[in-house]
Order: sequence, then C-alpha cells, then structure tokens
Amino acid sequence: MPGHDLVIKGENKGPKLLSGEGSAVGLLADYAVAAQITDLPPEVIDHARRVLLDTIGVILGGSIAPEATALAHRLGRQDGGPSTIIGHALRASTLNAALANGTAATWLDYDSGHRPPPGKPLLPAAHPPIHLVPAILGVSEEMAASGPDVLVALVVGYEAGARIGMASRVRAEIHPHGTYHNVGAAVAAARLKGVDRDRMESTIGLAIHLTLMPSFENAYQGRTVRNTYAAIGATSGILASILATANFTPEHDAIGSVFGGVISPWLDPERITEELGQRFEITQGFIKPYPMCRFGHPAVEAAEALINQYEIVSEEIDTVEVRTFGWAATLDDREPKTDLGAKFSIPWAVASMLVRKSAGPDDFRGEALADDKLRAVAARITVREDPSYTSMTPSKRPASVTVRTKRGDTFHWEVERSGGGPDAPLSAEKVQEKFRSLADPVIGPEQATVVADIVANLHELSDIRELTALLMPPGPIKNCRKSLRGGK
Amino acid sequence: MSGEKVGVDDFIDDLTELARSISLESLPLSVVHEGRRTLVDALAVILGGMGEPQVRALARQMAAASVGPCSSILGTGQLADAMWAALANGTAGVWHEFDAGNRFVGGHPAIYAVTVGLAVAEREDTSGKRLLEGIIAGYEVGARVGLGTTLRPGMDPHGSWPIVGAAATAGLLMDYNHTDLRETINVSTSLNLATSCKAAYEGANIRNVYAGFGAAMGVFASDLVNDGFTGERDGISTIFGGIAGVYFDVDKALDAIGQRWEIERGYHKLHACARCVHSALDALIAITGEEEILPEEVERIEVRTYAMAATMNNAAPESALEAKFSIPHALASYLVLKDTGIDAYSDSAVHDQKIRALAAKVTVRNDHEMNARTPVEQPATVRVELRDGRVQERLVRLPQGEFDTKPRSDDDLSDKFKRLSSNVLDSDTAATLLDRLWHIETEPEVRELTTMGRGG
Repeated sequence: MPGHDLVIKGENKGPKLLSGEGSAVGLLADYAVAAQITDLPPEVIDHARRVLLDTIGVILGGSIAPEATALAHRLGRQDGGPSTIIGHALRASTLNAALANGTAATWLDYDSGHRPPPGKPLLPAAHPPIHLVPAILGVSEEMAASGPDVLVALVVGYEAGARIGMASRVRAEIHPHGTYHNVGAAVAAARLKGVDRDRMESTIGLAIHLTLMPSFENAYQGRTVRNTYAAIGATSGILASILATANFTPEHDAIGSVFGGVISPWLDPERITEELGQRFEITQGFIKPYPMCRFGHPAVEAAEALINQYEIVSEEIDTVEVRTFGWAATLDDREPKTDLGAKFSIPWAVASMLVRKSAGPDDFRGEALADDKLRAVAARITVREDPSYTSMTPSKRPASVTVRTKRGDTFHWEVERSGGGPDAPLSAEKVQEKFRSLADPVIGPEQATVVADIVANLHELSDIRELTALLMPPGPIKNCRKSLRGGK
Repeated sequence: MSGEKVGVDDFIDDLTELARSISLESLPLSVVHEGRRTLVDALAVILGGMGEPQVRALARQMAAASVGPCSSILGTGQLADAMWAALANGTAGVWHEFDAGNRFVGGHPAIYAVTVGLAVAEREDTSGKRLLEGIIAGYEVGARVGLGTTLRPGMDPHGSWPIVGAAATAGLLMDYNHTDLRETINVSTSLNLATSCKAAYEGANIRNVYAGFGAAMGVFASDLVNDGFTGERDGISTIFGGIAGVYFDVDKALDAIGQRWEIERGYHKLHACARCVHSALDALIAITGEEEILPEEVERIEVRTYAMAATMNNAAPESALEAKFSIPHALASYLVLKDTGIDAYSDSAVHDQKIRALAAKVTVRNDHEMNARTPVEQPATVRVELRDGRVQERLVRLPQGEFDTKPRSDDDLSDKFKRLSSNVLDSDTAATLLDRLWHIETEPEVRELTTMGRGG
C-alpha cells in the first residue's frame, strides 16, 4: 500500500458554503447548462472524439470477459429498454446498461485517464471516461440525442468530475473510481435530459451524496469487484438525475461535507471554477498504450524499446532490474495470481514484453497467466524506487529497465515519461489501431470501421442510435434471456 | 469455487459461519419472535413511506428501470428488479424516521435485512422460514459490523456498514455456501457510500436514499458473486477500519457471538422521529400524563440531555425530515397536536405557527454527566415552566420501546402496521397480511405475502 509519500500539504479553507448562485457548485451548474458545441475549441472536440472512440473500444474489449458477460445477461434483455449493453445483443434501462458497460469499460485497465496539470502532486490518475461514456451513451439513446449533444455532455461532465477531483484530495487508500467522476456522469446525464440550471445544481449535490468510498486494496489484490466501482459511479450519476426530477434534495453544502471532510480532508473551491469554459481538462487526458496501471507504463515502454533495439532471447535473461518513481515501484508483485493482479504488476508486464514481445489484453489473462516462460522471467525482475526519479515527478515519471543476460551482456533503456499523455500523445493511427484490436473481435471489422467513421464525424450525427446500433455483435439478434435466479 | 470453507479462519469466517448456522430450530424462541416483530415493524414503515409523493415517483422510476421485474415495490402495485425494488423500499422504510434501531450499534440494521430479504426471497421463491432466518442473520451480521465500527466524524451510518448485513441477507437467501457468503461480505464493503450526517439535520431527503442505495448494493454484491466477481480478503478491516471507519474493533464485533443476539437488544419506535429525540419526548409525555399542559400556558421548556441528542436543537425546521431531528419541534408538536406519529412531523405541522412559536421556547443543552452514561442510558430531563409559575420536571433514563425498558407489545406493532399501511393498502388486505406475517415461518412462499403487500 503506497502512502509514505502522500502527506498532502493543503490549506484547509474551513467550512464555506459552496452551493447556490455564484458559488463553486452554482457556477459549475451554470456552465453545465449553458455550454454550447460552438463554444468548444476544435482541439477539445477532437479530444472528445478520441476519448469516446477509445472508451467504446475498451468497453467492447472488456465486454467479453466471463464475469462481465454474466453481469450483462443478468442486467439486460433482448428488448430490455432504451439502452444498449455494448458487445452483447442485449438492451436495458439506462441504469442497468451503465452498470454493465461501466464494468466492461474498466475490465482491461486499458481505459483513458486524466491527470491534473503539472505542478500538482502525483496521485493515481482518475478515469473520467469510464464513468461518463457508459452514462452518456445510455441516456443519449433514451433521449435520441445528437452527436453534438453527446460531445457537449462529454466535455461538461469531464470538467465537472475532473475539477472536483483536482479541488479535493481523496484519501490515498480510497480508489478514485466511483468517487468524483460519478458527479461528472450526473452532469452529463442531466445535460442530455435538458434540465434547467437549478435542477442541474441539485443533480450535482445528489450525485455527491452517492459517491462511493471503495478500497484501493481490491486492485492490489486483483479482486474484480474493483471493476464495478466506475460502473456504479456511472449508474449513481444517472440515478442522481432521476432523483432530482423526483424532487429529492441534497444538503446545502454537500460538496463541503463530502469532498471537504468525509472522503477528502480539504477542498479548494476556486479550483472548481478556475478558467471554467476556457481551460478544458479533457485535453489533459491520456490514452493508454498498455492495458495496465498507468504508473507501470514507462517501464513497459522501456522494455518495448529494448526489444525493438536489440535481439534479446528470453531464455538467456539472467536478471532484469527496473528502477522507477515511488508510486510505480509499489507495483512489484512477481507472481500475480489474477488477471487484475497482473495489471498491477510491473514484473509481469515487462516480462511479457521481453518474452511475448507484446503487452496487450491477451498478455494479462487466460493462457498468458499460465505461461511458464513468462512466469520464469517475471520471477527474475526486481522493481526498485529510484529517489532521483521520484523527485522528478509529477512533470516526469521515469523508469529504466536493465536486462543482464547469462552471457554477461547488459541492455539498458530509460524512459522519462510514457506515451499517450498530453506531452506525448498517441498518434491517430495508434488510437485507431488500438480501437480496431479491441472492436474487431467483438463486432467484426466492417462494423468497427463504420463506428470509427461515425465517431470521427460525430458533430454531424443527428441520432446517436445510429452509432449504438453498431455496438452489438453483427448477425441476427439471439434471444439471450437467462434466468435471473441466483443460487449455486 | 468449491463449497468447502477455506482456511482463512478469521473474524469474517466467524461472522459467515454464524450467519449460515442460523436456523429457527436452533435459535432461542425469543430471538425468533423478535425476528417476526422486526419484519412486521419494517414492513409497516415501508408501507408508511410509500404514501409520500417523492417515494412514489422514485418507485415508478425504479420499476421503469427494471428489465426482469420480479420483486415487489410494496404498496405501489409495481414490480422491479430485486436491486431496484430494494432501493425504493429501503428509501420508503426510513422516510418517516420510524424504523427500528439499536442503541448499542448506533444505527438501523433492521430495515436493510427486511428490505433485501423481501426482494430477494420473492425473486428466489423462498419460504417464509428462510426469509425469517435471513433477516435474523443479516441483522446480526450488520449489527456486529456496526458494533466494531467507529465511523469517521460527519458520517451517517445509513448507506455505510449496514450494507454488509444487507449483503449477508441476500447471500443467505441465494443459498450461498461459506466461500460465496464470505465473498459477498467482502465484495459489499467497497460499495459503501461516503455519507454525510448533515443531510438529516438539514432535512435533505437524499438521506433516505442512503438506506435505499445501501440495500440495493447489498443485493448487487450478492448477485456479483453469483456472476463470478471477487472481493478482497478482509474488506471489513479495510473499509470500516480505515476508509469509512477510523478503527475497527474485532473483539467488540465478536463479543458474545452466538450467545447474545443483537436483534434482541434493539428498539421499536412509536414516535416518528430520530431516536435521540425520544427520551425528551417521553419525559414530556410523562409530565402531561399527570397534568394537562396547554401550549399557550407554556413560558419555557428546558431540556438537558446527552451530547448526540443535544445536537438536535434546531427550533425552526423547514421540512418534515428536519423536524424529525429537532427536539424543540417534537415537544411543541406533541403539545399542540397530541400526536407523535407521522402527522406530528408533516409539512403542515412544520409550518404550523402555533407549533413554531412553542418550539421557539424550547432550549436544549448538552449534559456531560448524562453523556457519560450512554449508550446504557440515553437520559433527558425536561423542565416545563408555566406562565403561572408552576414548574414540572421529569427525567427519563431510557426512552420507551427499548428491550430493557418498556418494549413495545406485539399489539403496539400491529396497530402501527395498520395505521401506516392504510394509505396504500385496503384494510382487509392489511389485516390478512399482518396476520400471516406473525406466522411467517409457516408460509411456503414469501411471494404470496409480497404480492399482497404490493397492493394495486
């Protein structure tokens, strides 16, 4: 459990009413109802389209996991409601679809994240899109929303969640999934429903009260309930918009109680509204090149560079030393026991790159997990914190990999920061390639091509259902009705 | 997953084993009967809450959100997915702040066990006996997690640790083996809400959704395990010993486990307000039992009570929920309306000028010596000064309805059921349902009862 370097030095601004006109939450509500597609700079729209495509890809990729499939069949029906359960021939209510799609979205640990701009302490990145996209797609189907509606909802929801996240400091032992980005999901859902400003403000307050307080420990232990946190966040966001319409009320200062007390020791309301509508947090997002914890990426990238540069025969590897910054150095499990555990293991990912020459979804599950060659190399990998690297965070997040062979050769590579973030974005081709690798096996290459085209021209789409209809597997819809009955 | 018990052998195993071992045959008869009383009381408050427009609006949305509706949203004529039925029923059940609680645990395990029990029993088509066992066991698990937990300051227990009891009830009604029930408990812990206790004081009715959401997450946790999801080894210590709680006391949680039954240490309410208000209210009721007090004769009322109760000093509440957390309103409303039920805390009572004027004459003070005696006692002294100079004073050490003071009789609970159900069920249905609830263990199918309780 990390935590040693996590003493947060923040000024406690004390209790302050944060709601009502002119307050932080009030201004956020104003913005969320007022923003128009024409207010969004082209690069923001471009980021929104990339994020949407990438998230649809990871939902499709995750949807076929056995647990996600079981969940989907429990929550959906062939004719179960307005919203698509992505990757399955199933439909459901907005709430149920968000549960299923949010879980699938998290499954591969391949989803895009957001990190506060440089100058802020380094903490686990938050993951707005896996909360936002499952809520947005389901509600936009219900509302028959247009492409521009969806883009605006995505941007305002992203701002709401990311800004509350940056304004607070959720305690380190709490997993950020299911926390503040559920507020973003609520904002996006309410925006798609076309609520007025006051209803938007109460939706924000209600969503704040439905914030989860889940453990990071589940991720470290590789336990899959962790993959439902964001899904519940997406769902509670939609639920907040439903409750607002049914005249439920939040505390006057919900954000102060929850994000300035219960879940986070302090809150700086100015950070919520700073440059709102001018600076767009979605442009600070990263798209993951590898399906694992972001902190491990520099090490994996270094290993990838090594195999591209040199001829490294896995049988000849004697030891591998990974040096990296403090947070990343906690991902040191050499013998992960579950898929999710492997995604929080640098030895696993680096070994996979060295042995299998890849670190994609298949390298963290199923047969790969039983690969003795891979396990043997992972067991020879040590991960150490390099204090000089730690001191370079957060602007740089370095890692080096040193491979020593039994013949005495040494190969070394250093990466200052991993690709995919705003400082080194993935190319458009890489993003497409990643999407196709996830989408093709589930919906087939033809549909995947059309999906990518529609998302690229989303601002011209008049009805989102043209897109979502393509997110089910091709061919005749099978009746997937299954008993709801449990029991074992 | 194999059905055998794994060799962890920690306190979660103890809780799991206890929950699975509970059967009506082996429980003391008094515990079984308290289980029946808990069921009757919880169903009463759920039906009472379903009379409220916001709850009915939520119920409609939950029914619409369901894809395989087979659990009743009581008193609405609607079915929903078990999880969403639990959300609506749980929200209704705490709406009037009239549901049973437990002063040692400092919360309300009953409404979770019953809400989840009914929804899952109906879906799984279980017997009344299994339901009753599931309720008693879920109460026990929830209460013991509550006993061990010291929540972070500012949190409301609703939507927090009771979720574990909710999950246990659901898992038991799904006939889970030891491994799966343990897994369900661990899965449920991370689905807890970051609740704030100010909501209740301010009358923000999202507070009621904490309970509904917690019940829903209990069902969800159990269903997740059925889908193959897993939880950490000891989620109770992680969440309630560090994240939602500041400290988890395993010894306290396990104290006299299997010998002392927490459900027997609870209380049932006959006043529709926060439990901390009850001692003061009972003191005033005792005073009026000896001498009629006319509102216009009152010069001032002074209340001294323990710390938690002394926070309930808001003399000018603006909503029904807020009024339920106000000693001044409760006392004034009683003197004006001669009522302590739902109507004493209605919107019209809240805005009754006579009640408001009288509430303004009530002061509430914290008494450290009284505070030191909690939770064994929950004392309050009420001193009424009348305009003509007469003074009446009364001390109440524990409010009525506690198991160790003056427990509510079965007839009291039956009356409460009839009154609260009258807005949503016809009286014949309510009477038949009530009669069968008192014999729940003889029912082959819970579904027959929930169908009656669903109404139309």
